[in-house]
This record gives sequence, structure tokens and C-alpha cells, in this order.
Amino acid sequence: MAFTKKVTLKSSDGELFIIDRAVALQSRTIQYVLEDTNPVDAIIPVPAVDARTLSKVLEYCKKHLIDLNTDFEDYSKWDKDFVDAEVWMLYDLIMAADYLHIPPLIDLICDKIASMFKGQTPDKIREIFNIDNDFSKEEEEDFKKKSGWAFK
Amino acid sequence: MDDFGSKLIWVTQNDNVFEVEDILTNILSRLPVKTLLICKSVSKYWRDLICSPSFMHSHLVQSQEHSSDAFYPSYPSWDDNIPLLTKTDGETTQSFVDCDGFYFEGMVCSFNGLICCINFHGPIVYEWIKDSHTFDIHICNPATREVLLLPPTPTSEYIPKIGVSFGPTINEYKVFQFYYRDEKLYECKVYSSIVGSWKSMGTVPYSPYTSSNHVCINETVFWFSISVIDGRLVGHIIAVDREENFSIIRIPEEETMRPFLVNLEGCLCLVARHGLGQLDIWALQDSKESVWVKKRSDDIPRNFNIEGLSYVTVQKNEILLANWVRSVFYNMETRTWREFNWEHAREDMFSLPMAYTESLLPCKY
Repeated sequence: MAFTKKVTLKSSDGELFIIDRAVALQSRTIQYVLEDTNPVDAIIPVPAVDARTLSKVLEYCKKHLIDLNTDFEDYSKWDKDFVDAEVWMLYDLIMAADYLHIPPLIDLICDKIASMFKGQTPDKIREIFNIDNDFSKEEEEDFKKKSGWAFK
Repeated sequence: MDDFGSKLIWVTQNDNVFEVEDILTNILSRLPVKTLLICKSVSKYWRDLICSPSFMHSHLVQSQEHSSDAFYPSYPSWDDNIPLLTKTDGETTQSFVDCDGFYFEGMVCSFNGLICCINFHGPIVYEWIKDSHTFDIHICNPATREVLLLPPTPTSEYIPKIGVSFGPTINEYKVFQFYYRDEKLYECKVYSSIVGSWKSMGTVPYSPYTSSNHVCINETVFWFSISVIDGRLVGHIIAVDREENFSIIRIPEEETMRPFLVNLEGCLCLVARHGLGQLDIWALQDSKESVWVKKRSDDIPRNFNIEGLSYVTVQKNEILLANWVRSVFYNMETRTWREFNWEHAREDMFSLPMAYTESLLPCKY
């Protein structure tokens, strides 16, 4: 069975993406599927990722494939711009990167989200990331008493 | 096509990124402890995750990979609070450990983000504690500002020699203490974080030379010691393994007087200086037979010679050599030297710098 040079991915909303096999191989999930079944001219469904997110993920995979030999500085600047996105986009991206298993992309986004926590109050973090506060008033007071210095 | 597609059927059920444990752990383990203390009050899920031993472990690993801190406690005034200064390459941060004022003899060692220190309630004259005052041993975490006072130890006229072992789990550590009993007899006691109390290990005919020259590798502690053998002072190593068995390791003939014990990639090594100009590194190959191999011998550039070397430790791929006024780093990969500049006045220094990695580890098991 001959290796196909191109791979077709199908997003959750039905859009098809025809990409180089090498680009797709950066996803360990897809790599696993390809190695296992070695499909020829087949369409691989990616049911957890919509077209908008998938195109962004593939943009990352293409860039990182082409630029393997560029120097570190170029690379980190491009990455920085790549994750300079709205919070909802980062959510979708990280879920997609997790599902498709692309470790460097997961690290990149985790780093970005972590940097958004620094210097924030718990209220602000909950607001930015849309998290419910499930603590009672007493528990909150207790936090302030125990590690109030960290909040200054 | 459905056949291979079925491998991709698993779809995450979580809509919220922040409730997927792997992802949240990945994000939070990149943060400094201070930010994590704030994150703990974001939600119960976050708090439970941050307080879990597995998260503390991931955070410590991440912290060890990325940090290059050295740190020392300073004493600008006889205040109730001891500021502990942490220096990460360019940035110096200060934190306070909330202990009531005490005489601070100094840090004994730094491990996994915890510091073991001895404090005396009275003035010290050389090695002799006036009026047989007692002393305290504290375990503190400068990042979380938690402090644990260990149960009282016997009153002694001499400063006891201390050492710490840690592992196999991140919450386990043991503090060993040697104190003078009789002529040439020392009693060794051990405190275990799991048990929470001291236990006697009986008497031994030797004691560590100083508390600061010890290292823990795979739960075995090694101290440098000097004993009189056949009327001659001879340096050797005292080892206590995880089963609390004592043993003695001889050291190479030419290095017996003042080597420093370090852990290089899990191997016990000696860092020794010949005169002022040469640095030797020896690795222990066989502890039963005391077989050592010289790994490295390098010239110390004239401007990096430091007199009265008091402390040596390893920080990633660099060896930190310090005396009370100066610290230099030797890079083992590039064989280059660099000065370690403190921004704070050196007169404030009360202890030698130590390698340090911040962590969330509790002092109490």
C-alpha cells in the first residue's frame, strides 16, 4: 500500500481540509489513525473540532513544519502573535490541541493562559475565564486570613 | 472510512477547559506559588487540584526545570520577621516567615522548596551555647510562608549537627540530629515528618563536621566528617540510608581535609579545591569499597578564586561556590565562571546562599 502524500480531514461541521500528510502527522491522534489503518485517499473525521478552530490548528501545524529550521527568535514571535487571541478562541484551541494531541501547541496555549492569571484577583480571574464562585462568604474570609499577604 | 474514524469518536464532554484536570494542571503548574495561593480561592475545583499531592509534584518538577534561584535569609534589624530573599537571575524577591524574633543560627539545608533552619534562644559563643540554652529546629516554606516548629530537642551545650533526607513521596522527610553525649560518643536522633516526633537511633562514635556540608541522594544522607584515627585527623563520610543504617565511606587520600559533598545527576560527588587555583570533582563509584573516580580537574581563573570557601552546592548544571562575602558559579558544561551579584548589602547577610526552588509543599505531613 503506497503512502498518500495528502490527507483529508473533516471538521465537526462538515468542512473538508486537504493537507500534506506531514502536516497532519504533528497530531499524535491523527498519526495513530494513519499508522494503524494507512488509509488511501480517505477522509478522516475530526468530530470534536469545528472548521474555524481546525483551520487555526492547521495554520500552526503548517508553520511549525515549514519553519523547523528558522531561528528561535522568529519562531517565538510568530507563536506569540498566534496566541494573541480572544479567550474563547484559546478555549477552543486548547480543547482541539488536547483532542488532537499536539504537545507543543498545548504548551504554547497553557503558557499564554497562565500568563493571563498573573497579577489578577480571584474575582478578575473568574470574570475573564467565566468561572462560577462556589465558595461561601466564610470560606472566602478564611482565605484572606490565611494567605491575605498574597493578595496584596 | 468509518473504521478508522471510530478511533476519533471520543469527544470530550467538558465544555469548560478549566474542569479538565490535565489541562488545568498544565496551566497552573507554570505559575509561581504566590499566584497559586490566589488561584486557590477561584473555585473549589481549583483549590482541591492545587492542594493535591500530584499537583504539588507536577508544580515542583516544572519549578525545578525553570528556576535558577539562589537565596539567603538576611537580617537588616533584630526584627520579629526574617526576610528571606530569593534571587532568580535578575530579580530579587523578599518574603517574610512569620516567626517571633529568635536568634537565627542559619539555614541547614534547602530541599524541594522547604528550608531547615536552627535557631537559638540565647547568644552563642563559638560552638558553645551559653547557659545551656535550648534551640529550635524549624522547617519553613518561604513561598507559602508556612513554618513548622519541630518538637523540642534535648538541651545541649554544643550546637548539634543536623541533616535532612527526603522521599520517597514528596511529603516525607527526616531530620537527623547528632549531639554530644560523652567523650567521643554522639547520640543520633531522627524526626520523621510522617510520625511527627523524634526517635533515638542510639550512639555513634562520630558526628558530622558541619551541618551545611551534607547531601541527600535517593533517601540516603551523606555528611562530611573528620575523626581522629591513629592520632591523625582524617576526613571521611558518614552515610545513613533509608533503613537508618549507618556506614562510613572513605574519601580519596588527597582530598580528605575539606571537600564539599554535592549531588551530580544522582551521584555523590566531592568538590575540592587544591590551593586556590584548582577545582577537582570526584564521583563515588562504589560506596561499599569507597571507590572514587576523578571526573574533572579544572583551573580556577585568578579573579574567581575565593578564599575561605564555606559552602558549595549544585544548581542545575552549575556549581555554586560561596564564602561569607562572595559567590561564584562554575558551569560544568561550558567550563566557564560567573560572579553571582547580590543587590542587597552583604552586611545584612546572615547565612550562606543556597540553591532553592519554590514549591507548594507543606511543612507538616
